[in-house]
Formats: sequence, C-alpha cells, structure tokens
Amino acid sequence: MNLNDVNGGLIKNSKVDGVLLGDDHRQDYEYFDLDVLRELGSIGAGHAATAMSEILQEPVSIDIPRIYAIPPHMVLKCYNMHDQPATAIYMQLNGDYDCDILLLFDVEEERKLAALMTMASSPDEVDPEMGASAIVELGNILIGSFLSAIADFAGVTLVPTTPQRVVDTFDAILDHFLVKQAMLSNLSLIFEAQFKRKSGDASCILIVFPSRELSQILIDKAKKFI
Amino acid sequence: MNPLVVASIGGVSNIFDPNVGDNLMDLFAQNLPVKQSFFTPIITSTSMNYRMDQNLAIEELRVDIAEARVEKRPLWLVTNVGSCVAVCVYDTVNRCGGMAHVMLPKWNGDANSHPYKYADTAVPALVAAVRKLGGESCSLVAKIAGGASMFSDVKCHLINIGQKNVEAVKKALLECYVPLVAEDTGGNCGRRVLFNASTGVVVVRTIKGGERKL
Repeated sequence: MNLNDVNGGLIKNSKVDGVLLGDDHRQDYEYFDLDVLRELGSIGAGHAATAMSEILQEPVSIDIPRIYAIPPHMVLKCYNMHDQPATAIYMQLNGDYDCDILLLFDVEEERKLAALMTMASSPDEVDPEMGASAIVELGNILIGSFLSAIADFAGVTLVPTTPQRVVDTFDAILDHFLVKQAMLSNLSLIFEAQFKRKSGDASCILIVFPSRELSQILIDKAKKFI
Repeated sequence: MNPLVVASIGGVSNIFDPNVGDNLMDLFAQNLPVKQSFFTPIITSTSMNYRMDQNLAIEELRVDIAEARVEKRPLWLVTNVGSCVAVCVYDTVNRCGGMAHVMLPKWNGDANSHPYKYADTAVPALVAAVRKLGGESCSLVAKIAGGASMFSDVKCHLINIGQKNVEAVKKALLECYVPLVAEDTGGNCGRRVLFNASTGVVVVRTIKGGERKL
C-alpha cells in the first residue's frame, strides 16, 4: 500500500522546450527567466564540450541542455536510474555564491576515458589511482571551462573549489544534493547538459544546482543583452 | 509476469501513485526527446517501479525519496539511500511492516510539504500506518540504515546531515515507543536497502559488493 497522497499534480505542462516547471510553484520562476538561464548554460556547455573534445582528440556532441524547476523529491523520478553505478566529480563554488556542480559518468565509460587520458592501450592497463586522478582532472577542466564561459558572458566571478570523486549508485549520489536543496526550498532548480563522445556508447552528464541568489543574478545580467 | 497483474492479485488497489507517472509521461512525451542512453531521463511509468530480482526471485517494490510504503505480502521494499535514512518498522506479531525514506531531520512547518520527507513527521506516520495494518495487538520493532556523508562539504553549510537525520529518527522512534533493534548508519558510501515486510529481514548492500543482514 502506498502511503503517498500529495505526490500527484506537481508537474503539468511546460511551454518552453526543455524547461520543466512545477505547477504549484509557478510564481517562483518565469518561463522566460528559465529559458534565459538555460541559454546561459548552453554557452557554458558548448565551451565545456570543446574542452573535452580537445583533450580527447575526438568529436564530442552535446544534447540540448534542459532546465528543471521541480520539487527535490521528484528529481530521481525523472531520471529513473535508481541502481545504476556512476562516477561523480563534484565541485562547489567558492565565495559569495552557493552552487553545486556535478559531473556524472557511466562506470564503464569512465574506464575508457581514463585509458584515453593516460594513453593506455586498454582500460585494464590503467593504474586505478592514475585513472581516478585523470578523471578528476577531466572533470576539473570541463567544469572550469563551463564556469569561465558563463562568468565571462555574465560578468561575474565564479571560482570553484577542488574537485571530489565518488563512485556509487545514481540515487545515492544525487541524494546528498537533493537533501541540500530540500533544506533551502521546496523547489530546486537544476540545469542539465549531456556530452557524448563520437565513439563512446554512453554519455556523461553535467548537473548544476544553482542557488536562488546566483540564478537571479545570472538572469539579471543576461537580460541586459536581450 | 506482468507487474500490474501481480498488483491486482495482491488485492491492494492503491499500490502505485498513478498521477506522478502519468504526468511525467505526458511531459516527456510532449517536450523532451526520448532516447535510450545511459543518462537520458526515460519515461517514468508506474510499472517501472516494480521488477523481479533475479537473485532473490521475489518481487521488489521501490520506495522513492520522501515516500513510504506498508506491506503485508512477502515482497522486498527497496530503496537507495545516501545521506537520507531508510526507516523500517516491523510488526513481529502480525508479520507486516513498512518502510519510509526520510530526507531531512525536522519539519519546516510548511503545511503543503510531504509528510514522509521529515524524520519527526515521517516516523509517527509510518508507525501509525503499520499499527493500522497490523491491527490492535502489535509489537513493533525498527531497523534503520543510511545517514552516510558521501561528500565533504567545503563550505560547511551542512555538517553531516546524515548523522543529524539518524539522530532525529532515533529520537522520533523513542517518542513513539518503538525499540530500535538494528542499524547500519554512517560511513561514506551509499546503501541499497531491502526490507522484507513479511519476515522483517533487512539486507543492506553497498556498491563495493558488501552485504549485511540486519
């Protein structure tokens, strides 16, 4: 017997492609603002994909980035990847702004990337410590270029902390961030972009949890160009 | 076996919350490109919460974040916890039980918020639900798992929320007079918690292959 009665009816429709907005929190964000934010994120994601392509010497494609403004406990339902193991590189923003940035890889894809980064001929030959370090560095570069592109465009200073790496199931990794989001508000804002190598079969995903202050500042700055 | 058929055999009508699945399904069908890749959000249909475990050969029911389920049939209630806490309450007399996935220690006072999100509201609600399912003469015990701190938070905004969750759950259980018989908490890795509602067995698995029976 399910004991949940208030789960339904949270998400009804989305007017803008790739923008999800919870129904009963419509007053918190405008669709237009979210689209502005998504556009800003696209610029960052484009730069990050270029950086990834240059490191790996291989074409990298990106999906159309998405932005979600939904209650934190609904996020895992959207992904539906509960028990999949994943590797996460996690960075935060230093300074006045609060923002969590997460880069997730499929575990198998991570081994292949580590082999590419360390110039090993096969994933089995990579020293595990060396591979982990290479992946952390890749995450550092991708997130760094993502942030610097946004910072240049919007005219803000965004400095990340040192990266951390963790391997766990998808649900358990996102759990930590959703708890943090739930502490702050009933609505979490999530920006998401996916990168895919030309020869790889799995994509890697960038998930950003900007705080309300940071997202408002970015929206205001970006609106000056419109 | 068709999961929906199993559900109807069980005779419990309100197993899934159809609204959520339908809404999300509409949403993704209309607006988002659906592709099968590792990280693509796929359509959450109601039946996807339900699958067969090859090793255990009995059905699993997923308890999502900030949700709870009570069950009398011999199913595994399954959830994945990181810094959240999975609370399993078992009735040793009537052989039924329930599981809640608790997210935060304290209710923020918002009347619209989810009751199973907060430890101090979820535990009494779960205990009441298990009591109601079991009947008058019941003897409840509780087992908890979770409360890990997976990342060290550099800006120290939440110093070990996992530990705070565990403490809040223990306090709430004490207030409900439900003894805590086993726990697997803390550490720095996520857990997959399986709770057999008819036998009261809790199995905790970690990604590194560790398995512990509570």
